[in-house]
Amino acid sequence: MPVISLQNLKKVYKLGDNTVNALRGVSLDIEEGEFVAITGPSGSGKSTMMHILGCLDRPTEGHYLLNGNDVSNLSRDELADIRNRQIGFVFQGFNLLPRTTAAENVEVPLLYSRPVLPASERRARALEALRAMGLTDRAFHHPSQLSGGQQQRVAIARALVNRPTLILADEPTGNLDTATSIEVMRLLQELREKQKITIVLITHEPDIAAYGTRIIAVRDGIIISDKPNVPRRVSDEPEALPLAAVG
Amino acid sequence: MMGINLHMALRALLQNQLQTALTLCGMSVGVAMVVVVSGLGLGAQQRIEDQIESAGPTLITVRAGNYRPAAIVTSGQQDSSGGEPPEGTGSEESWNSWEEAESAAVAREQARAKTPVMDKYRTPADPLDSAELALIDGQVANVRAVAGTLSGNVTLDAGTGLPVRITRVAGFGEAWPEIRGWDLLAGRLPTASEHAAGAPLLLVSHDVAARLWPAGDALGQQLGLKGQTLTVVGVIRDTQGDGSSVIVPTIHLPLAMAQRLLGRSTYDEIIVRSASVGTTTQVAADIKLALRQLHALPDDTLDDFRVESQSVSAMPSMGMDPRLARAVHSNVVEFEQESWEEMAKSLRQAGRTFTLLLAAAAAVSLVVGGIGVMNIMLVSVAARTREIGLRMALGARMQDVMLQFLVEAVVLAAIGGLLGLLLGAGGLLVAEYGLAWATAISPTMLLAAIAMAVSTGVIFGYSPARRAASLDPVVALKAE
Repeated sequence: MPVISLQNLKKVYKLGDNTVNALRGVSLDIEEGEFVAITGPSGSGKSTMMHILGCLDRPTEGHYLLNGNDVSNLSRDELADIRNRQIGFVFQGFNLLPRTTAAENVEVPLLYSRPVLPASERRARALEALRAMGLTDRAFHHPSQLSGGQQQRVAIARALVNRPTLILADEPTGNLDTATSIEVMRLLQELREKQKITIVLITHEPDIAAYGTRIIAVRDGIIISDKPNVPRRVSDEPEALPLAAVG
Repeated sequence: MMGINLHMALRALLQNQLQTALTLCGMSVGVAMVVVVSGLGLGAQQRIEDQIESAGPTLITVRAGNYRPAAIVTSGQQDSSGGEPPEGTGSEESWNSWEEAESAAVAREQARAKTPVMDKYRTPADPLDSAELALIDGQVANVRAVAGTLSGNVTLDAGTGLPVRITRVAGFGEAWPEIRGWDLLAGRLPTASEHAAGAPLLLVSHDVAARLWPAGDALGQQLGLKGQTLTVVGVIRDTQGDGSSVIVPTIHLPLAMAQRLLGRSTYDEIIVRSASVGTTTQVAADIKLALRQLHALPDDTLDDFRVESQSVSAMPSMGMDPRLARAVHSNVVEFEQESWEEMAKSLRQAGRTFTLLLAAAAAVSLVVGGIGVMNIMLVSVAARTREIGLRMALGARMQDVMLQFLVEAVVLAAIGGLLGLLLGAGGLLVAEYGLAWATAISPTMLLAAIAMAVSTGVIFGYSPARRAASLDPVVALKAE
């Protein structure tokens, strides 16, 4: 069973008198453990696709099966629960709460889990997720005291804390320098390889898309190419740096 | 979940210190207004109430024996069918000397000791005793306090060196000083155990003290009465008049002591305080009914007791002959009492209206405070749109977001409310001690002010919270 199955997905926006066909019939299956990079220029519909895949938005037409369940017509609150339990988000701008410690940032998804976890359990899981990202000694720092790479790793810890089956990364390296970008991609590759987590990455940079096992190109609301890819390895990078030197 | 929301709310408020401080100012001024205004209103109402109470009649006197108007016609004789010898009338002043007056008093005392003569003009009296007292205390509604007294003249033992030979002994119980409104000028009142034992001590009014011991301090002075030595422990001022005549000074003893000295266990008089001015007429009527039943009087028989409210008792002091006053009272039913109660009612009404008016003004300032809360919450929602989008992406449902902002508004309003309480209490203290205005603080009022602050938070926080909860997560995430 594919983790994600899109069946003739369409999305139409109405802006005043104009209608914009953001997606014009997308069909796609993504299996467990794939690292799919979706590329395309701005306006191609990849952001819309990302929102629908992330259950932040609903398609106008077609069906979206997530882990075999049709989520195309669920209510807002049902979608919120699905996002909470099954999807981890990694954003371009990190989206960490300011003046809030890394641990507390990682705890946020747990605040909305049902049933509610006790505070000690939340804290333990947040610290565990931070440890997995190598941030144990930064757990009680505020985002402003962390480097960009560290902030993005906090965000990845937050995405992982509720043990999702799918990670959606929207331009995760957009705000990072090359060395840090490579480090983040290595982390994502590791997650796929060690934990069999399915990863969907949205990017417009071919260099970054090259880390995926499959590259899908989108243009004008349809898929124009869908090819398997031999993922680029961090060790291939001439400027690869050991983890300790990053961030 | 509530704890988390509280934590988040406090954090968010701390992060916008200036805005929070300004909003708290608005909110606390609103609540302070409510506190001050209701404190002043309540104080004014209480002052009105006090004035009604102190000026208005709540005192009811029950005396044994009845006075029939016929007695006015037949003679100027005193009615002694069971009650005390009435005093304070003009007749005593006509005596030429103290000696003469004293012998008259002695004669009267002797006459009193005899069995009352019953003739056709008098209703035979059932004496008042503890049965009547218990009945009034237990069966009549709206009675605040009841006390009985008896009095009589007693000759002082020889060799006291005092300027009088006879004194009028009046017994009083524990409730009596409060009912009569005695002011204690010096010394103390008897304790409960001294009352119970009928201890050999006495109180005098300051007038009497000055007459008996013109040289100086009355406290600690001793009197010999029928072989007992009594010590003065207190000097009082009785606002109602202490019953002393010009000739015979009155001393106040514990009831049991007075009963021993006078050799009677009955009361001459039971006095009753009604719960409030408005109930006096009813209480007096109820007492009449209850006593008639107790004395098993047939319907066609006159009362064998008299029930008088304060206004009637006051008539003699306004220059009216007490017999005439009673006659007027028995014919013009409850005249003065009724008008007093009407007046009290309209005064109270005026007080309430005044308070309501002030409260309405205060409510307006609370609304202004509420608008401040709404404003900061709207600003906060706008400034944190991205945070809201993020929380939604991470799984917050609409109600989670709603609750978060509602709790924030309520916390803000509640903190403002608490500050307002302090501010308002301070304002009331200034009004009370600085400006000498009547104020009052009731716990109910304080709770109500906090409750109003919290509901202001809910009411004015609702719309911003709702706005936050209904944001589209996609749009919110893109916000700057």
